[in-house]
Amino acid sequence: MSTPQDEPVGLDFDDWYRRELPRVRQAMTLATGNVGLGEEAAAEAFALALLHWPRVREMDSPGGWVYTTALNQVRRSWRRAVLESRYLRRSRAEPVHLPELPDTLVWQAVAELGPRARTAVALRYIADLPEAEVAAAMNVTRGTVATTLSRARAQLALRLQTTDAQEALR
Amino acid sequence: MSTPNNQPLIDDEPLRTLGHVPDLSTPPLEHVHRRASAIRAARRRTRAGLSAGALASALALGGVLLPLGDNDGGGTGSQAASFLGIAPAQAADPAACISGTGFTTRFTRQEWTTDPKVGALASWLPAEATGLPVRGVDVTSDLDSCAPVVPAAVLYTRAPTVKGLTLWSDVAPPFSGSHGLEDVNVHGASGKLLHLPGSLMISWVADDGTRWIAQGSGLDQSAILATIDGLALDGTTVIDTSVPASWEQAALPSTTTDPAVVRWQVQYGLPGDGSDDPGIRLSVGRETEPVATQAARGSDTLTFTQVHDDVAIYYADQGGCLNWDTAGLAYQICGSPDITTLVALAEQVTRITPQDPRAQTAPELYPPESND
Repeated sequence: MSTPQDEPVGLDFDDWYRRELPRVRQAMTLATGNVGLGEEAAAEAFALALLHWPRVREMDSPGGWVYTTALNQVRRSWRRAVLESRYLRRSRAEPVHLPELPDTLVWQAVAELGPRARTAVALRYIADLPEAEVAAAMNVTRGTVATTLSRARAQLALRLQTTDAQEALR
Repeated sequence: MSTPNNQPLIDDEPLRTLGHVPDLSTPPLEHVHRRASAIRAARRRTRAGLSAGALASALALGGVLLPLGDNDGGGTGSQAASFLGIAPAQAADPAACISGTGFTTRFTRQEWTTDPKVGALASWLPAEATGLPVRGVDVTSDLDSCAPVVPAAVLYTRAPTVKGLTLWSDVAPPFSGSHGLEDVNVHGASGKLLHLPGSLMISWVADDGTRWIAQGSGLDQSAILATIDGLALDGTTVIDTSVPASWEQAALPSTTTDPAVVRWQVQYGLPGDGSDDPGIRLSVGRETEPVATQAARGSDTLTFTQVHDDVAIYYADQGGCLNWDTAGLAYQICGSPDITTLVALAEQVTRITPQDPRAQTAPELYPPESND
């Protein structure tokens, strides 16, 4: 799909999109708690990545950029509303494909955390971003990320204390 | 592992299981390329001063495709067949048009009072109706690439079962790819049929060269084809008298060449962005298709009801939403799972002018600092 002038050499957008979109979508779904919003935010971020591809492809972490951009779409209420409206209209126009999500005790427990904790966990453990990039994406300090993740792990430990849960964690 | 105050922690290992991605499907690449092109074009328009208001993201109208796998680079060939959407046959770029490459702009409060499109939509729910304060008002315009295509006929049944059959005429080819498309005989011509979740989509070209698209739901393939075969088509219209008496037929809105779709939105609820407390949301736009069109898209996902004497459709998602149209306007109220409650609210909606003090003094739904 990409034209030669768009894609000189090196990282190819189309390959990168196919490889990374599912993970970004899954992370955004966990962060937002909304599968439609997660899908739209991911799609919008990749469209913006394509728009800025000559610059994005040269970055040390194009993945970090796309997560930051996706988060920006849902962090600002106006943009979030546009994404929600888009998803609603899209789902009205045609039945939409709902991506299959993990159905594990850990996923369910994380989904019950607050938005900031969910976002930090999604970026750290689904996106596999280092804490510094998680901080940049969330526009907070690295210390805040560390504290948020620590508290999230404590909350998760409490939520997963049942025998079955402990089994699931082994 | 524990925190300094001996609170237990789980370690990284179970959290790393979150990184397993079970669904590796992706929407077709052509969507993201067209979306990027739309953003680029809209930014150029904005820089040229042709677009008013703060810019935001776009509205995609494109159909979502089946299956979502896209493993051949977006070409046609053996690619899984996709329904792209409805575009006018004369569209300069049907591909871009049917991908829904719109761009959303916001009206300033000053512009409400000067743009007749806003005045044509302004509506209100009395304060006592919701029991909630007005959270805010917002007016947007979706600058789509093409004007919406008004259906040629919208047929539906409400009882004993919900069924829907909508036809569009003089349209662009609606499918990309070929794998999964069925060859069918329809209305004396060779057509293509695609199964979608909850509905069937059929396209064919009549002897006079007019391309038709039909979408049906709530009845099987043979019944849909038989119903289409029984309709008398004249040019781009469906002859009313050929519609079987078992079907209701919706009145069609006026056609338009205006690609801008303006929406008036009022939210009622406690202050905030509504993410924790959605409240009641009223949205009004120009009617571009009868609400009953939805019956052809998924007869099992909706419930028919009425607002005054107008046909209305209830959806359980989004916290419960009621859609109806009257006098050329399409209304939606969301925020209650109870149909009766929504109908009662809907029947209290009144038209106002944008200069109405209640609207003018209402908060901005999305404060300026969130526009970046």
